[in-house]
Amino acid sequence: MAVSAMHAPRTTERSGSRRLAALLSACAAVLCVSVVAIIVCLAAASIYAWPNALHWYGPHNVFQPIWATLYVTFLALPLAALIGIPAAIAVSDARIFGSAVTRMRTAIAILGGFPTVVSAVAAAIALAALHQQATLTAAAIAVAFLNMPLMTALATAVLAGGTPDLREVATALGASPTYVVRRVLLPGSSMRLGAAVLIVATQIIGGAAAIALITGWAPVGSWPLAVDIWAHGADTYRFGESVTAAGALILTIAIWLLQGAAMLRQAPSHDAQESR
Amino acid sequence: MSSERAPLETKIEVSQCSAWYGATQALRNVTFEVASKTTTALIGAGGSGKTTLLRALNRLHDLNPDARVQGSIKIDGAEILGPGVDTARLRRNVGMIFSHATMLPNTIADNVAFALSAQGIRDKRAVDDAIERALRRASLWERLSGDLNAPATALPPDVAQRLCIARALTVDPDILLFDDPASALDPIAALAIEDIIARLRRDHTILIATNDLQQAARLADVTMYMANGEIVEMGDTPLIFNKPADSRTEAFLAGRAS
Repeated sequence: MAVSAMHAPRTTERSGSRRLAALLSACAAVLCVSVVAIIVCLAAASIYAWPNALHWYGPHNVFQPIWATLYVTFLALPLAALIGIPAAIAVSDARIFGSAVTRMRTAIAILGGFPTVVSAVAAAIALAALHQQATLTAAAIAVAFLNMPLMTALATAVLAGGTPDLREVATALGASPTYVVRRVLLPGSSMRLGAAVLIVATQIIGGAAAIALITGWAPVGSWPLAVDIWAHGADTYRFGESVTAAGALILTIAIWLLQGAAMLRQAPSHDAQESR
Repeated sequence: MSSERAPLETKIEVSQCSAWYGATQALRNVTFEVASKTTTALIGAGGSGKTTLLRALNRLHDLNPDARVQGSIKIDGAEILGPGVDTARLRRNVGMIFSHATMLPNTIADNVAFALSAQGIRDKRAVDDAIERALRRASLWERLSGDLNAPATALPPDVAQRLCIARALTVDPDILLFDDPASALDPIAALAIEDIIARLRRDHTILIATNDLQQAARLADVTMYMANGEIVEMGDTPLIFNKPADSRTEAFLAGRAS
């Protein structure tokens, strides 16, 4: 009797753990099945579309949207990184620009919390006020600014999270704050900063709402893939047009590749050293 | 023991020094002096203020926005707390070796020469000489002289910790602060670190925070027992270990108190 009484709570605990494990596994399985389902749907919908999608002179080929996507990304991403990463450096160390700058971290966090659509409306209003034409270039610049808070937040997390020891060691050796940033923090965090840039790239590539809103659907030549899919997605089944599904598949694979590259960059040799 | 020593000049004077991390007080009106070229061991339980005290001596608390230090700390008679102090110069004169060997993300040579390059010294011959001298003093020259361009991050922990000592020695600081430098090492590697510290005692003023009482007894001329941010007792090491004046010190050494 005494023995069974001692074992009873352990058995209850074990069955509770099993139930929790089953629940967590089920959640993970739902996500995995969703991913597979999305890919199967896109592959099935696009199976007959590839000749049209890959036809260079076809009315709805994927090359022009891909080109527009690359154009926006290669314009917006460096701009977001060139301003976002230095901003992260500034807010991560009170000794560089004073404690007032570190307080800007809160402002950046608030800015990053705005829904993209809201920020995009603000950007569209600003462009209109400046009498700027709704071009893809203007949209790309606005997209860069919309993604800067995310870039700064990710870079701040990288600089603050992975390198306190490095900062301390370098400072203890008599290095100035700017020297520590230049010669220690940036080289020591370069892999993970690269991962942060890739994550921002996925946001820029996949972000349709902002560009569509900023340009106001004005004729800007080719739309980036995400906007193109957004614009024509509803027609996919009505007209039996599956080219959009092909574009969506390409977009998905591109984002997967970037996310995979970002994940690989988060396990560099420096991290092992930092964690010791 | 102190009566047998020739009078030594005072290197460090700490007066009414208190420190806080946010609202938590980590040091309480600490006052003591350290003579030049002596080794002082800081012993005490975790959270007693040993590391905070060491970090205050080279202003590393500046890195923590929540940390605040009040009082007076003088090195060679010059106040180091407060504004207007060249902290980079101070830290080159007061080297610090941490409990975990953290390598900077570059080569062995770059690590050892870091303090020089941070000063803007680029003369290759001077840098190479300083690297060799520092590595020899840390008993690493024979082992690493052929691998100076290898990444430092790949070194095993014991070699990495000795490299940290060499890195601090490159600019020949007057004072060396060791924050439990052997705590992450096996006993043999720990003894190797002790050997190096024992050799450095002749040329440097050393403060070593340690949880290893035997290490403190072996290395230190003077031992300071700290508890709850206060200095309970400080005196010549044999006296502290054999005949402590304070019952709290006696209890700690006997393993009866934290």
